[in-house]
Amino acid sequence: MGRKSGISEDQLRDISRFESSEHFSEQEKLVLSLAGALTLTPANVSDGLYAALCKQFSERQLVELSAVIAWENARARFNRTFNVGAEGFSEGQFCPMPEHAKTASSVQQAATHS
Amino acid sequence: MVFRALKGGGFRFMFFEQAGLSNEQSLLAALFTCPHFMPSAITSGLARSSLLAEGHMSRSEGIQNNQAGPVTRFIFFLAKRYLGRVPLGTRIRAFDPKFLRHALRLDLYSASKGVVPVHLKELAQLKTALMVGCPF
Repeated sequence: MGRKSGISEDQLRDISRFESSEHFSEQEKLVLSLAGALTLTPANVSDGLYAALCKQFSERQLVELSAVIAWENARARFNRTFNVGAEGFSEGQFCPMPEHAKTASSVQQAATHS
Repeated sequence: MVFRALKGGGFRFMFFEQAGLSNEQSLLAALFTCPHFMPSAITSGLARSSLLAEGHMSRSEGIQNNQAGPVTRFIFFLAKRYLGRVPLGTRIRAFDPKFLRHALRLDLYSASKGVVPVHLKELAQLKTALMVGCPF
């Protein structure tokens, strides 16, 4: 996933520690921060993150991004009920593994720093 | 149709519609032939990696081909043609054909070209899936 659209292997490797990675642009870091903030429970996008997002994205773009992230949450969580595992679609390629849960504070902190 | 307005899928949708497919079938055909279509984006069960080979057991086998209705079978056909096999997540969704169809519409929205660059959307999806625990 993502390789065809231009996501590099370095980015895939660093996605769990994107805050300190040099392989992501500021815009990409903001998107990842938003994904993190919307995926944690309770979901909370801080004023600081929203202000930073507004500098990079229009409101229409933020709607699209939020919708995509929300739907990905639904899809991924749906699979957990049935314990759907990997099916080998990326066999032989580098694949990031699921992250351990982060605390809400760490993601929000990263968001305000980016 | 609202889907005609979706960038990236509209022309393909109309092509398949003119080829005699129903709205639903046109939508699915457009979806699976979309160049920006993300396999993992459309089939929630598309997980990826080698856990399968390590004996990972899911709790359901989903709907099999001989149990599926015509629309579901068509979706399976397209999935198999595009991906080589029908992902388990798609088979499980097929227990509720109504959900399967609506989920595909949202999948199409996610995968279509929009006002946000595709790679940014994919980054966000990847991050989300990793945090939720959906294996790749």
